[in-house]
Amino acid sequence: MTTSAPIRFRVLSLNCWGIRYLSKNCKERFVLIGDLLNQEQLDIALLQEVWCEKDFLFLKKKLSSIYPYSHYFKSGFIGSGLAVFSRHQFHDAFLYRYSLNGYPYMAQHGDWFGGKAVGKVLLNINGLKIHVFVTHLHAEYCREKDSYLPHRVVQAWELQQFIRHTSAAADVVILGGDLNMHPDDLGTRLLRNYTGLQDSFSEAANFDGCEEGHTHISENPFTNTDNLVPFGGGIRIDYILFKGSGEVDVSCESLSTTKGPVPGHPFPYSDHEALTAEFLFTPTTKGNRCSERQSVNEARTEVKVGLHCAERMRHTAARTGIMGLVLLVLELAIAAVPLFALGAEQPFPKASFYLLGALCFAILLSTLLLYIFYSMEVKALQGTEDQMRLALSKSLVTYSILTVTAVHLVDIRTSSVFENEI
Amino acid sequence: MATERPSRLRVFSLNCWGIRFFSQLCTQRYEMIGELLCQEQHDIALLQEVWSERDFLFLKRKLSSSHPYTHYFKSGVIGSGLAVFSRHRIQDALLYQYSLNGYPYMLRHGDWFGGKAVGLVIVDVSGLKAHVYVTHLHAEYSRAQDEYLSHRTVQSWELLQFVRHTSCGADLVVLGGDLNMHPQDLGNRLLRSHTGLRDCYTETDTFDVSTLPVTCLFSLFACPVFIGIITVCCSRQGCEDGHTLIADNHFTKKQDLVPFEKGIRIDYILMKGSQRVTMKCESLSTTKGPVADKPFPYSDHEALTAEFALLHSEDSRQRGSSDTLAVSEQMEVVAEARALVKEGLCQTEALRDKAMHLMFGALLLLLLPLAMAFLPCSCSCSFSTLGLLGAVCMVLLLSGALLYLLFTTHIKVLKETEDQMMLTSNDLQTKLTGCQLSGSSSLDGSPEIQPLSPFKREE
Repeated sequence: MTTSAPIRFRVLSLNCWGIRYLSKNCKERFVLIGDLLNQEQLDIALLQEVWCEKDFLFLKKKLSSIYPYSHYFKSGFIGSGLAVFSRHQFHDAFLYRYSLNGYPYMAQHGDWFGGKAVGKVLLNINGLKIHVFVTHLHAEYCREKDSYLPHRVVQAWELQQFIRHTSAAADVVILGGDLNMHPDDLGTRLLRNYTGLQDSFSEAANFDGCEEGHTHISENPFTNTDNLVPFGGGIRIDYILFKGSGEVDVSCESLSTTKGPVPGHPFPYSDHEALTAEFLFTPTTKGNRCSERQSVNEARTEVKVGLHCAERMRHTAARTGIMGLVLLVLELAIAAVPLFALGAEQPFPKASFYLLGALCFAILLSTLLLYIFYSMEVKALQGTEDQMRLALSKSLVTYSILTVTAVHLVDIRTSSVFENEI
Repeated sequence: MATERPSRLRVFSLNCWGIRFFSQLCTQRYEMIGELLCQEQHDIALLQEVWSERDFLFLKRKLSSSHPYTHYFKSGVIGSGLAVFSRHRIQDALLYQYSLNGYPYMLRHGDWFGGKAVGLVIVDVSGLKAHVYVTHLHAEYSRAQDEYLSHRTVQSWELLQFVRHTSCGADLVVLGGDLNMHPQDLGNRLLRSHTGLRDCYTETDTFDVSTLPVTCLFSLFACPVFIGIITVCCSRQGCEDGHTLIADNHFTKKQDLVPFEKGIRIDYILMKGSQRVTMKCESLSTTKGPVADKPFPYSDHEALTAEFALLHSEDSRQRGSSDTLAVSEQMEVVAEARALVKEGLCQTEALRDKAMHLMFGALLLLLLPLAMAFLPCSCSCSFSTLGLLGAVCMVLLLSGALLYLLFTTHIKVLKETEDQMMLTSNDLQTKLTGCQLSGSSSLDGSPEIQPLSPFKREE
């Protein structure tokens, strides 16, 4: 067996909050982020919310000597906001845009325009195939009444599907990003259980950072502290997850987070804290770990709830559209009365006629657009549910086969013991 | 070297033309398709344009005994129209929706609403892991002035990326569907050269087996000198040149085939083995328009049936072809594709500018009725005229905004595709330099170079 020295690999993940004209001190913070990356001696940096291409190009120029390889994933109207800077060359990049990502009319939330996705880059270091994924899921605006939960569950499902199906040949898999989910939330459990990815916070040999590994804390002056009060002043929603393979063992040597205000600087890097993990890749001979197949039932329930809502909204849009059409027809009929009853007065004052007509057209147009949008949402949710059902049936078959095999083995053993006794 | 008997796999692919209320004799044709699939007992049937879920459920019920495992891929507003029927268990499924798929305002073309995509099903075929892909690309409405060429190129790119990235653990790979591209079109060449997938039509020894017995008998009585020629000529029958959209099919509009009089080949079954399995296409056949004993064909497209022989293989190399040549070919085709995507990008940026002009024009025009309404001028325009003008401006403004949103999204996709192509191009350049220096390395269509790793065990 050929052995080789273990490889150290440092990864950083940060949600940069780069919403130009809206987020505070945007330009200055990108300068600070550039300095941080130049100092930190990383192998790869995974950034989210780099919404403006100018900011990406600024970072690219600033980091060109230490991180000569970069990729900016583009999708949606202003997104995806995902950028990767690497010391090592990329051999390929691939993007998977999530089917669901909020609603276009929720302009105050704006996620829909972000074209959220998962980006993948392939690295090859000393013959090791390293698949690195970066992503950003839909934000959670109200935990008690989370209208985006089905969307986030679908995104988590598609994320785990994408990782699983595209990393069959990988020696090492790393996922970094803002999942907008707490560690025990359904989507996070689904992701970890199905992919077998491990959480660097739970696995790290050494940790230095915010309490409980929080990445969105009240000490950060950019954060809205009211939202964090029920959670003891912080939440953990950014992650670096990892996995080895049959031939390479990956261990997390250390994990650290920034802690809000940065010494020597007037403000932090972002409203999120940065995560830095150091991994060790060592050769091994043990096989792949089995991944548990839980949480799918729970996920399927959430998706069904979302589907029910979406179908109801689509039905409402259709009904409202038809009402608008009926109103328009009625209005035209009333307006046509003088044409048939000669000499009769026009019952409709012109201003009201045109205003009502305009209102009917506006209703028709908006309900048509909404109907198209909700149809796409329904299709995406149904598609995800079908995939989950397939996964469940596969688990059942595997479970049945394992159970039957186990029972058969017990029978053989019992009968052989019995024969020996005789 | 394997000495066991090869396993067989029969794959069927058909664009069903299942547009309810628009395509002719839809219900009756689905009955015929169901009967055909029941009789033929293919291992896997890949259907496209099954737009209505009701038709899928009808087929599912009809084929429940012969093909108990099914998957219907859902995406877009009415799509994706992709359905898989299988005799073997489907272990997993994944859908990748193409980022570009026409324009929503092109209602008479309607592709945008179809949510075109590529679907992957992982099927257990006698212990072998088969990755089966079914897809349908954007239609070509005018070859001379193809406004969707950049969209179809992006779809081809995303298709090849998806296949490359998801087929690493496969024992065998099959791709079936309506690519809406001729065999030597850029998208097709891009797909085949970068994935290593092979076209069954060009790979098979036998095209349309059903006609062979007659020709063999004939050749026995003919002069021995001519036997070889006749057999070779007669073994390539079925639709001429493997066409899948032909003039003989009375559902096909002749103007759609112009300038190709007899037909075009736009539906394919592609295949690839692996290090563990050698895959050979034993035969390929197509339907030929009118169906015997039936008043009309199955669809406006012809159906493809391929039969594969699967041999367990211990060979570590699939092909001993010249790898430098393969890499150069890949580089050339990617460069050509990149140029095309750049052209598409320019066109879309021009469209986005037009949308912006529309928005500003509408805004300016809106000032006119507002000014007239509020200024005490002597203008004799009635309120209703002003109101109408205002309404028109609002509609124009809204359309401009929606179009601006749409074209910006398209520009992002085109730029992303261009960046990925550039990355691949650079990677290929590195491989080419490496190939030229070292002399050889195996290429299997995977997206990574594989230098000898000090981590790997030497066997």
